[in-house]
Amino acid sequence: MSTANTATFTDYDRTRTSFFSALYRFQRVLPGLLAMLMISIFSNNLAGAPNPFTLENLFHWLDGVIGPVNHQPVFGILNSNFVWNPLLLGLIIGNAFGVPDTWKPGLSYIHMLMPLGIIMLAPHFMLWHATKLGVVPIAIIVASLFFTATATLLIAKWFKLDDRHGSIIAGGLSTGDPHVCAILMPLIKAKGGQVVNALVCVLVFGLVAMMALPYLGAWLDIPQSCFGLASVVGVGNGHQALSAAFARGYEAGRYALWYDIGRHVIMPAGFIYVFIVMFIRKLRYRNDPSVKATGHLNSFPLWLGVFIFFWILTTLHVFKEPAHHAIFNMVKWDFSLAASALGLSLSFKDIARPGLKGLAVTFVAGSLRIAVLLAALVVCIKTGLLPVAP
Amino acid sequence: MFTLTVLTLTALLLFLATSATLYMGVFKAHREGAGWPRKLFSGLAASALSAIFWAGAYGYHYLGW
Repeated sequence: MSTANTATFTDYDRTRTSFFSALYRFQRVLPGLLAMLMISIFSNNLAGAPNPFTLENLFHWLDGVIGPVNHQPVFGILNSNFVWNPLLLGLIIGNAFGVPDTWKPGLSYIHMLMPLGIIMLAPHFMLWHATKLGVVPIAIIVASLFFTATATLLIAKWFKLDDRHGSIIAGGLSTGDPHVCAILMPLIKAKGGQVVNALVCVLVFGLVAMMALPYLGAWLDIPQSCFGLASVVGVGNGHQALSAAFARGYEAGRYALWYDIGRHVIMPAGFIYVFIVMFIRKLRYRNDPSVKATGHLNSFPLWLGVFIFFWILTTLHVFKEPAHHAIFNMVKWDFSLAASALGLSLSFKDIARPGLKGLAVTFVAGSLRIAVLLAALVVCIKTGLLPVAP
Repeated sequence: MFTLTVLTLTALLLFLATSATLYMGVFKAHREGAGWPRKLFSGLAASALSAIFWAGAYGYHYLGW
């Protein structure tokens, strides 16, 4: 060990008085934390912060001016939400004005906010809510999730895409929720640029799938009640899926709302699966320099275990609805702060650096999923496995 | 009582955080070279602006004007 390192360790040992000594001093983190707070309260309508001048309100107003597309808000289709809004505002501010070095210690709190936010998400996924959908739709939703995640990871390997980038795309695409790209970030140890690039890939594929799927559904003569399931499983985020379904017909849209619960409640299974696959792969090929996903993680993260524990409690109905809503408001605060830190720490170059390979992987994997999904739906309809509403 | 306490503490946090942001970000009064008159007047101005903004925001939200 060098002399400089020895000195640093000695100083640290001498000055530390508690567990919290590893943290920066409050004065050092204050500028960064204030920047995150200001971006958050001017991005989203957060509980307890009655600020009318938010990006969320601006988008709602513009949605009102533009009018709905297939009963959906345009900015909803473009994935405006409590993660995307502060990320966008942070990106614009960081790239336009730069980020002073004094902000950086505060911005590093993203590493604590992300796991905390994910743990608090647990009461959001009540598995019991999906049981009313019936066995076959649930089986299709679950099979699609694991098939898409596995196929995307394999296609990413085939395209020689960075495994961290491929894992993030696999999570976002398989769950049909671009939020998962951000959720997987601390597990996969992906770079911020890879996460936002993957998020854009899933979003762009979702837009194309949203426009193509109604035509494919009509061509294959899939009944509207079953098309609701196809759009929920085959497109990207929630509003894109609903827009695709309503483009096919009003009944398809109503059924998409019904089936969306199934996709939503099993979302954690998607990101836990991608993480476990990549973690086992890292442990098996520890010396392979191309294996980068999950970084230096040597054991199963404790906080993910805490999340799974709370998810089990959720399925046992431990969290009542008012508690669920209160906790979700805290999730919004948490993810808003984390996303503003992420936006401030990224340059547009970081996002563009992974290139278009991720987009190619997303399109190949997404198209494959749609093909297999529609084939499975046709078989289930013809054999009478999937009930068709009269 | 619980909600009122949380709302009051949140309002205090928003007021203080906005004041600190203006004090450090706009008036740059936290820098070592700044003298006490600048620190004092910047503190007063930042607090006043923060109070005006949040009074407006809370009034808009809770009084509905």
